[in-house]
Amino acid sequence: MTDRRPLDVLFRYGPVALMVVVGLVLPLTTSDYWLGRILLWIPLAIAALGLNLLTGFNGQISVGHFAFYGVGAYTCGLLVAKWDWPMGLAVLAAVVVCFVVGVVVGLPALRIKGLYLALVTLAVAVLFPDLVKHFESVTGGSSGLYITTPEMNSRGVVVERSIQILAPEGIDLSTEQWTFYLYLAVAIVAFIVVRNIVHSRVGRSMIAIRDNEVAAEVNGVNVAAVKVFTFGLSSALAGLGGAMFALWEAQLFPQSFTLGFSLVLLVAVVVGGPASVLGPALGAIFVGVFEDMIKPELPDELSAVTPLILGLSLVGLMLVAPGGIAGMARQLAARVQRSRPPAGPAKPSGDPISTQPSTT
Amino acid sequence: MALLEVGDIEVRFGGVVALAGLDMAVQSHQICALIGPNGAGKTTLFNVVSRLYEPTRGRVHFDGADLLAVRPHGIASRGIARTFQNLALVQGLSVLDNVKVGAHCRTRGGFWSASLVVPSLRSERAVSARAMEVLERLSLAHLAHRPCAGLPYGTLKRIEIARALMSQPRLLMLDEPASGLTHGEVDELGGLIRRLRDDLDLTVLLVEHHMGMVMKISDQVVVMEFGQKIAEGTPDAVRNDPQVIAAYLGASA
Ligand SMILES: Nc1ncnc2c1ncn2[C@@H]1O[C@H](COP(=O)(O)OP(=O)(O)OP(=O)(O)O)[C@@H](O)[C@H]1O
Ligand SMILES: [Mg+2]
Repeated sequence: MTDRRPLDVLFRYGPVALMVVVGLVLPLTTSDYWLGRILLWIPLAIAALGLNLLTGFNGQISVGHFAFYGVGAYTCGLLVAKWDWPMGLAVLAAVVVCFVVGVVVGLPALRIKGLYLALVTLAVAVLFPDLVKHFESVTGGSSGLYITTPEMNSRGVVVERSIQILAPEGIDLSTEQWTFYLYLAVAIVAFIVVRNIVHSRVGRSMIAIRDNEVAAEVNGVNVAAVKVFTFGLSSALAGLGGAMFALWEAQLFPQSFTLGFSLVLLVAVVVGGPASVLGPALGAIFVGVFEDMIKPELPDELSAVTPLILGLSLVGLMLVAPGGIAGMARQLAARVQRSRPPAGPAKPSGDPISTQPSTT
Repeated sequence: MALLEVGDIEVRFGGVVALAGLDMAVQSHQICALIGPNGAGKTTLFNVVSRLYEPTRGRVHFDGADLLAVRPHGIASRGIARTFQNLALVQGLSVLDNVKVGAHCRTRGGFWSASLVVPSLRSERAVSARAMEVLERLSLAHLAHRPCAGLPYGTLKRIEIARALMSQPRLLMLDEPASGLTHGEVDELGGLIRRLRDDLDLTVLLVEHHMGMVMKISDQVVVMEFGQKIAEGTPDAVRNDPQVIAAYLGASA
């Protein structure tokens, strides 16, 4: 299988290359207004990446994953706003905090499974906005947390200003453009890390646990440890997304992290293609296009029923393509490859990308 | 010397007594067959040794050490590997990756090395190379990159053997490896099991209904009924044991 034909390489790396190229060109051709909205799809994709690791690759269902996004956002926001932490450090802290919170929430997962685990995560999702409201003195409650830093204005008076991610001196990019590139870079690193994990010893354990827990255990996999660790990692990724969201929005409200958003995240994973590394990115784009571009255009009567539309299209998609967009692309690739006449003398078939549906 | 020794093992499922004070020992480097009618408790014994079932009473010793003090995921690294009567493969992984799962207890590498690729790449390659060797040994190399789904039952059982070998076991427990095979394939499998025992210095505990193979390759046969041992000895001795003929062989042979 080592001699890959050009088309195989194209199918394998084409989608990634295309997305990266679009990501690089987009900021140069899009208005700052739109860029400011589209760049928030990136944190969403990272959160979906985390959820996919948990649900798609490890088989643990979380219907409340946006709560971790919220924990990441508030952790980062509070550190910057109240304690003047530098942004990068605050993001790292948010990731660590979310890892720990994820491990704690993941602990019950050792005893309970499937639907019951879903219920626990549901409870977390429902509880989170209420917690934010309850600790109003710290979080600002319903009136919001404004992430500001003290700054001296032109008249020498210190005022609180919303934080901004500014391009370094000498780089001629708008805040939107610079942030977009920065976020894109973070996302690329996150996706590469997850890709590597999925194809490693740890990743095989995760998938083995998803498909056959007994087989995993008998082969020496510490099922409990891997499950809890995956929960933590998944939550850490959601927290990373949340922290990026917080830094861009510079204001946080509990109603931005309700159960509905958790479900949207789940939709992103399912639509993009569960257990596919690139799937969450595709899913986040799908959700982003729907929420930011299609929904605002809908007439009022229709926008009230958008959850219904989203739900129905989800059901429809699952009927047509249970593997999501990524699964559909893979089937297409497999079909094209099969219809091609074999190149050169008889060679064994079986390109990993077309024959390992749930690991690539 | 007995490599595996179980004493007075009892396992209950509600009212059902699956093992009722079973005593048996498997000698080093032997192929020991465990036979008995359906429901005799053979698979249950495997699950006790794998630590998947907790016995209500009794002892399990492996190479002198108390196995009941070992957690289920620690069994593989002690040197015990097994296959399953009803297959326990990972559907979402390719044949090669399934086999690589078997190396879990003999490899290192957690999250950090995995996410940074570079250091893990070499050990990944080593594991892949070893998995390919094992697949070749079992004539499965051409299937390495296929998904498991859709392969014939007998092939899947062989993939499980390959996976079990990856942990470099001392004791290999095979639960009905010949089911779903044609006559010719059963003969081949018998030869393979002997070769594996000789080449890899294994001890084999074999549960099998296929009497032809059992009698041909085993050094020792243990006969079970209703969760207890009713006879043991060489294949010839067991074949002629009146109690065995009445309980088991009489019905099928
Ligand atoms: N998990 C379980 N829950 C309840 N009963 C069980 C369980 N596992 C085994 N048993 C019961 O224990 C008894 C022994 O079963 P076991 O599977 O060990 O038999 P076996 O000798 O492997 O039979 P076979 O040749 O059919 O595989 C049977 O009565 C079976 O129904
Ligand atoms: Mg059985």
